[in-house]
Amino acid sequence: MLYTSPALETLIERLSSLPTIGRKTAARLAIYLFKQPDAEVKSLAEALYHLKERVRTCSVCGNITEDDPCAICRDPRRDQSIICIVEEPNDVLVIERTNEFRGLYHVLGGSLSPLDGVGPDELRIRELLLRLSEEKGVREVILALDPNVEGEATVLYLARLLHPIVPRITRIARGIPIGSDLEFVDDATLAKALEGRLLV
Amino acid sequence: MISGQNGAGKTSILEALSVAALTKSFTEAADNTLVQTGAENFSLDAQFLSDLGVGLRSKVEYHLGPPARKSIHVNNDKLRRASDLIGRIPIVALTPDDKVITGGSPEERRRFLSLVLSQSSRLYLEDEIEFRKALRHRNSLLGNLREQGTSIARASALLAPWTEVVIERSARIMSRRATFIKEFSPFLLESYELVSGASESPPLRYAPMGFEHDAESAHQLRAFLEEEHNRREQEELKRGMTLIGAHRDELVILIAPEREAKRFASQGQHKSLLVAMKLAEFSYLRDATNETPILLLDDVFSELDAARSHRLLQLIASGRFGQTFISSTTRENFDEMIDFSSNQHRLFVVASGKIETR
Repeated sequence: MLYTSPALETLIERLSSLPTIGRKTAARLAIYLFKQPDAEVKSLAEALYHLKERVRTCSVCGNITEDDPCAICRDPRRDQSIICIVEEPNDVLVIERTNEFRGLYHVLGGSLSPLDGVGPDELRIRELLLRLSEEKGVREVILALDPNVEGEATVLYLARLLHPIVPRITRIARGIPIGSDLEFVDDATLAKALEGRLLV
Repeated sequence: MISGQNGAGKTSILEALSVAALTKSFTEAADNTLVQTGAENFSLDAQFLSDLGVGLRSKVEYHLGPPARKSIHVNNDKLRRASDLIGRIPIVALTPDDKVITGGSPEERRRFLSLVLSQSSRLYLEDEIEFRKALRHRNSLLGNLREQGTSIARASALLAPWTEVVIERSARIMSRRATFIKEFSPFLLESYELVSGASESPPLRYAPMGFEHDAESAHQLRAFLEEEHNRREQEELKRGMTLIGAHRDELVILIAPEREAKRFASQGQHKSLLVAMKLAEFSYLRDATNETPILLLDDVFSELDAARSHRLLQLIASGRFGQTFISSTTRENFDEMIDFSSNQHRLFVVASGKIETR
């Protein structure tokens, strides 16, 4: 169905190109926005505009930032000898929320995926190697990638690459979420957790 | 028993059970072909009762789209992935199309292995899903490397992580298959005797790409696969496809020493073998999952001769199996052997899109 306003049609088209948003949701959002006060919509438009104007990726770690290098890379209190490698900026946010990690990050921008045309050159691996050659003193690299085959292949690729330069390379464990009942854990996770059981 | 003319919709009922239990049809039909002509979606709501008397409600909904959408709920919880349902409601289906299991290509026998093992082992299913994904990545990479004429050293480095994942999963899958064949053989022996009335027994042999040692040892398999890989990587690059792994092994069914069923079995032996494989699958799954599988026999009796039909029906009537759904165009043999007036057996007649109880 086409609306009688080309402007509205354009907005719907733009919105529906976003991930997880279909055309129906896009239309609902567009109509909702139209009914909002001018100021509301303007502030949203400004926020979108500033996103590309002010936000950039950190030239050191690849995380999202307004200042380059980012606040984490500039923080002298952080442990400069540990680098945690993640796929996306969102993953930095999630790990930061734990308050358990005080080292630095390196955002790859994805994981190896030949089916999608993503090889080592498409990830920020060259930047990582450069960084490791400049910042001596890195004792450990933690590989915190998604627990799927793409993440696993990326871990294997990086491990091979980093072994000669970094003394300690680790990967995060996978298992059962804390605070959840065993009965609500999905079968695949539980089966893997059983397989990787620990001696007490 | 569900009886009715050809094209009346008998198979659709059995397929519905398959979709509710396995999320897909046993005919391997794509989801979009299961939607009624002219309709946009299908919706299934099934209630199962386990051997322990615990209820399980499975709801499968599919919408043609585009984009096509499929959602699966178990006891009102939405499942994250379709594979989370597989194995919870064990099901064994036998259709005339299954004759490819004993007579068709190696791929058909791997499909058989995969269907049984996926239902009996969660880890196996996960390994297979991940293996297939990694294999597709590796093949795609091999294709690109060949196209671009990348140097061997660089190609090897790029392939290495995918090779490792493919080999690791393959070793686990193959050792699981080898163990399965060992455990499955006694069940097959028993059911072959029941079906054919003969005491000749079909042995199975698992032949993973010429691997001669203990195929149950994932460790030994891994070493073997790594060796094979080193030997064949150049060839892989030349052909642009993965030549080692769980997609290249073979289950061989023998009717006599060194006589492969695929080539040497008579028509009758093929039929006995197939029915025996499926009944053994039933026994194996019951043993492995502690749950009596549902048995679906789709238009099977028209394919069997009188003696084999009679023996199979006798087995079913004896209550040896659990709940069994049979579709058939004829009722002749059934009426004399199965008492439909008892509570144990029910007869449904499908005609012009309606199901009636008799």
